[in-house]
Amino acid sequence: MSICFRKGVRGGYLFKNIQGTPKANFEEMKIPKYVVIPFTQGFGEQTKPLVNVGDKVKAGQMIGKGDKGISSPIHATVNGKVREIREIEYRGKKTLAAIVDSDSSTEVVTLDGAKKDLSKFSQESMSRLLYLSGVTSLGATGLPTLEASSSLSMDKVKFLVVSALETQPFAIPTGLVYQSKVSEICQALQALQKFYKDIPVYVGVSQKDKKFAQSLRDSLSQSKNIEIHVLSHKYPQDFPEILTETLTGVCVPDGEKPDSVGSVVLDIADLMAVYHALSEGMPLVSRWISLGGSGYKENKLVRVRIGTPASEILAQFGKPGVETRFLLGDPLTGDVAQDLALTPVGREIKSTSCIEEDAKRHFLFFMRPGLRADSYSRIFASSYLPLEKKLDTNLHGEHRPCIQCSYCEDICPRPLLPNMLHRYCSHGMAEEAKGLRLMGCIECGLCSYVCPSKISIMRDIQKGKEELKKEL
Amino acid sequence: MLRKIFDLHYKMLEKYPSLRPFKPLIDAGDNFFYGTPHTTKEKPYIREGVDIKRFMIMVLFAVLPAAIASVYFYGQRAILVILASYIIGGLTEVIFCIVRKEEITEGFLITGILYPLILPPTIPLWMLSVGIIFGVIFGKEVFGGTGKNPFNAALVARCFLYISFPLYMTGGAFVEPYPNSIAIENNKPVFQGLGGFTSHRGLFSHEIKNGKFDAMCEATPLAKMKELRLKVAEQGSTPEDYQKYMNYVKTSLPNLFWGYRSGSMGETCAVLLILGGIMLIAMKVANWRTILSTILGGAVCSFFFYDANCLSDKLYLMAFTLLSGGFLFGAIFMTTDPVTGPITQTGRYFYGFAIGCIALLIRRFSGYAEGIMFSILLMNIFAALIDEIVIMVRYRGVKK
Ligand code: SF4
Ligand code: SF4
Repeated sequence: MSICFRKGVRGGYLFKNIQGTPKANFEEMKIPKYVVIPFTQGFGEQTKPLVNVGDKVKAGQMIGKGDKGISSPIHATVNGKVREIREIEYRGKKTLAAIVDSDSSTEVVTLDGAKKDLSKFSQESMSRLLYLSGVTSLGATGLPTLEASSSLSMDKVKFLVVSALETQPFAIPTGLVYQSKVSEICQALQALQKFYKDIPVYVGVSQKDKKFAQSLRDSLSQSKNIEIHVLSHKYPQDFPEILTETLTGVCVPDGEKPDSVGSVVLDIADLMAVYHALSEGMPLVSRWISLGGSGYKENKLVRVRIGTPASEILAQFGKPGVETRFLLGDPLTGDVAQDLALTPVGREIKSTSCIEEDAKRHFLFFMRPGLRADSYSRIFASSYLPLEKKLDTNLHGEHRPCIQCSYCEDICPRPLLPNMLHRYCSHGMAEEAKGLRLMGCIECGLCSYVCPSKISIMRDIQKGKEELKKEL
Repeated sequence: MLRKIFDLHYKMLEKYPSLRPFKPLIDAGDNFFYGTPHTTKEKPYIREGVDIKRFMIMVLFAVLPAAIASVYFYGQRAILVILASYIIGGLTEVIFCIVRKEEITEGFLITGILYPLILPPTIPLWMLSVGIIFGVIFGKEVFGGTGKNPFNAALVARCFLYISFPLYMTGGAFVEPYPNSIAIENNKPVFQGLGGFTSHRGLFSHEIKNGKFDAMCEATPLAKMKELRLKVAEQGSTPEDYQKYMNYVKTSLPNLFWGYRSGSMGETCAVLLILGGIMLIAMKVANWRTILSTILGGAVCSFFFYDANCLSDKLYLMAFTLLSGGFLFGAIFMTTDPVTGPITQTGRYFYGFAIGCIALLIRRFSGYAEGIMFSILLMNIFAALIDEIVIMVRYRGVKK
């Protein structure tokens, strides 16, 4: 019914020149003193703990495995002893987590059955290895295997969609990071394509990474059915729903994840995890995360052990003496960390942001030229000058009633009217809003970001959605 | 320094509870000079820099050239009129907010300057005050203040005056602008010296008709054109009549463009209005959809409504209708008032087009010389209906 835009996202917003965008500097983080490992990570339900308090664990040892429902195994990520198993809040949900004190040794237990040549795997052995390494919990809806690792069963997989672009404000061009890993990526891609019985594979690359797209094309020139497309760099082009619609031309129904049309969405980091799992038997114990935002001393990419608490990251990389807010994820969709010592970087976290807390009152703020302010409108001088723009937690204005400027409608990546949805939902009329495709909202947060009346449109929409779900 | 004053006020508020009602006033001042101390509480945790104050101030900056031109053309009295509008209207707004214990919002910043600019230069100050009080109360406050008003407050105020005191709002109320016509007839440049900047004729008087106001009354170009056209349309009109009609249209075009003509204070100088409009569109403050479709609607209708002997005459007429009267001012500053227009972007095309058409319809077929005010007010009513239809069509397949 709705029209899909093959060329790219409808509306959307291009974040340019944001202060605190990571540079392509890489650093390995030291093994932390302790890690917090939630038993719910990535896609899937909570797994059952296999260890008890006081047990010795090794990095790479499986400590959680689901017995029913969809889930993938959870691994310890450091060598040491389980100090505590308790409930924590992780990404806005309560979950059980193991706190493991580490002895700062770096060895990792690998899995058996790894083969250097990825084309030699049989379907069963590959499925087993992917599942046991925990890789299957990555991606938007998990990686379907013969085990119960995804909401999609293996024979229903129709496309593999790979996102090689990241469009959030603090995104570092993917091509810059993975330029030297092209051959690994291609091997993983081909292995997965074979694994899913030669389904079509679509790769979306940002227009900023033309060179990367070219090298991918060169090394995949022999493979059939792998398409590489260069897409616009507008946020939220890399959302699984949008990416699936753009690349495959198939519409994802409102309120559904891309698995409803048989699409498996992965990103390049996930492909690298697949590669390491298959070629080295490496379980998911560490990953690269980007440090974005002006609250960090230096913005770069670091490799951390999964479960490293936010407090350790901030102690090592944060700017001292500045009040900051730590977000798990990008600044638009990231969750704020309540208790830094108990907020881990889980396996699905790609980026962390640390933005400055700004409760200062700026004298005559609205009359200033606004050299550092980012805005959708072109009111500020920053729109005409090549200056770095700053993002902080200030609201930058008072709450006002909606003035119907329609910025939200212009910028929404779905054909929605966020202002109407807000109007209905904030008055408890979610039923009405449903007729305006309330469920089609993918919660990208852009409408709240641009609203000059500072209305939290997305919060209202979320409330409305919950109301609808309750009624069902 | 300023900070201290505000803090002092807040302390006084705490000490004397009887002063409580004035809190909105102090809040408004405080918020005006200092940005907000609030930080984000919900996702997303970052917000962009534009707020309503900035948004509104930009409209003010865009209309400022036209306001300055009004001083140039009509003397220092224009300043007085604008000030009076701000003070009286602002007071009304403040009183309402205090009574209702609400925050004072920025909406009046715009109404306060747009309103005097669409009045004749000779408007008596008391009448102006009555108008703005009516406009603020019945155009805005009864509906719940800025953001909820279905009508453009400035237009409601003007409409009220137009109907209550037609004598002061039509015909003789319009005077010839500075520099006066003698300079023009002698082929001197139109822009000469300081124009009205140095004149304080009739500052406080409204006795213009008795000669205290030393400019000549002059019909607006639209009224003159209407008169000439009627003559052409009459039985037994001669080719000379037609010639006269077209001559008038042609010769007045440059004056219309540069603003040398009689009319409401701010609406005369087309070039400054167009510049303001371009500025607003470039900054994404005004919606280009409304502006363009209004102008398009006006152009199309003027093409069909006004007869002429050849195409070039028709084009002259079209340019004349678009530049004359309050059409440009309305299209750029009144139709784009986002609150009173439709919500949907698609709706804005229809809204604008209808405004342009209805304005021309009124001009051509009714007794009024100018129709843009009525057409905008009329379409304000239908804005919600347009939205309804657009939404119905767009979401027709969605299951409830
Ligand atoms: S951006 Fe905010 S003020 Fe503008 S239309 Fe949307 S909700 Fe209303
Ligand atoms: S949060 Fe939802 S309504 Fe808002 S812009 Fe994103 S998709 Fe549109």
